Amino acid sequence: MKQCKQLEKFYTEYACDLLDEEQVARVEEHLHSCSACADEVESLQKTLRLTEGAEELPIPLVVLDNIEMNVYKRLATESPPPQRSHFFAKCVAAFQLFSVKRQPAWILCSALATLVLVIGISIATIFINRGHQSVDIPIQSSYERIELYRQTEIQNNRNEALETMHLKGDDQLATLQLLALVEQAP
Amino acid sequence: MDRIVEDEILVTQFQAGRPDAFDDLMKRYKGQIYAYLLRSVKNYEDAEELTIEVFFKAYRALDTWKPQARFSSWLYKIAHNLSIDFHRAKSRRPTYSLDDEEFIINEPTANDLWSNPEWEVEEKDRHRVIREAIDQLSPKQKAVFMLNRYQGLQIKEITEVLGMAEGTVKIHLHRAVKKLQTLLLPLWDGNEI
Repeated sequence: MKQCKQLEKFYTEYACDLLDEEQVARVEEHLHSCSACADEVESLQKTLRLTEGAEELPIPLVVLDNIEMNVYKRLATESPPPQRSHFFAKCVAAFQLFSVKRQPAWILCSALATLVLVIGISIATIFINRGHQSVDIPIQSSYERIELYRQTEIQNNRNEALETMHLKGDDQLATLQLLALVEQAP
Repeated sequence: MDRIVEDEILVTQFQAGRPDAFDDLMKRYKGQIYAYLLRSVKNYEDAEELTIEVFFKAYRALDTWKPQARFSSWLYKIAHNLSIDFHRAKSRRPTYSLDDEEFIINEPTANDLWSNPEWEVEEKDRHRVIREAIDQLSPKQKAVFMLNRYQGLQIKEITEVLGMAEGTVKIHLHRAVKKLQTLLLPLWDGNEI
């Protein structure tokens, strides 16, 4: 009875195959000699077997095939996460440093003047660069990935069409099909 | 080669500037993540959308990701958090539930001469009862149970996904199984399992 109490906590893990060999041997040894515990473990195993089949859902393969493409599409359409401005963080930190240490007024004033100057330069830089957007590597790579998928798809279609036509023995139709597909390709 | 090591190599390659390494990571885990989300949200479209969101977030964060846990656990963690957000948002806006309606796409038909519509209806009912029983588990019990029983994750991996201690995960699993044992007792009568 004492052993039943001690081993009871392992029964779920035993039923779920989560025990190591030593623990399994200990539990099984007890189950051979205790019918009440053996019934309990059997009941747990039955419960788990019941739940096994019930959640098996058919997964549409076509959805899975398109996941990569859709992820890259999403990456291409959404702008990259805003980069936290280290510049502003540094300014705020510097300002806090001055405030805390109670520096003389002229230091504070010169710091503020520098801050205003730097902000001015930053804003001017943004306006100057507005015309030519900087190239963002993740976005560019996403487009590249999409293009790669598109090319692969076209190539696959082309091969499939050729194969079908050759099997039918219609070389002329196969050539026409190929030409049409070549035109599709950029 | 060990799958975990392979994942780490692919992550390192991605971080070193080979974005197509992410393709391999997606190919490895899209099925598992989709299946997990489908079980959680019980709707094909939402599961697909959330799977895309998982990999989208992973792609964005992978540059700076440091392997404190397995890559797969990290993906499951993102998926788990997204499913929590999904359920939270869903509870705020009452919508028509697809559970038990469109969710089951394999309706029994009499077209197949070998099929037994009566048996299939019974089976469908049985599955519904089991799903309802699983839904009665607390969110943490359900998450632990699903990750272990349906996704095949070990206790250590579940601790990484859910951010719980090993003992806590074991307790949740134990309580989940015990609760299901009680709830599913009526199904045992007359059933050879």
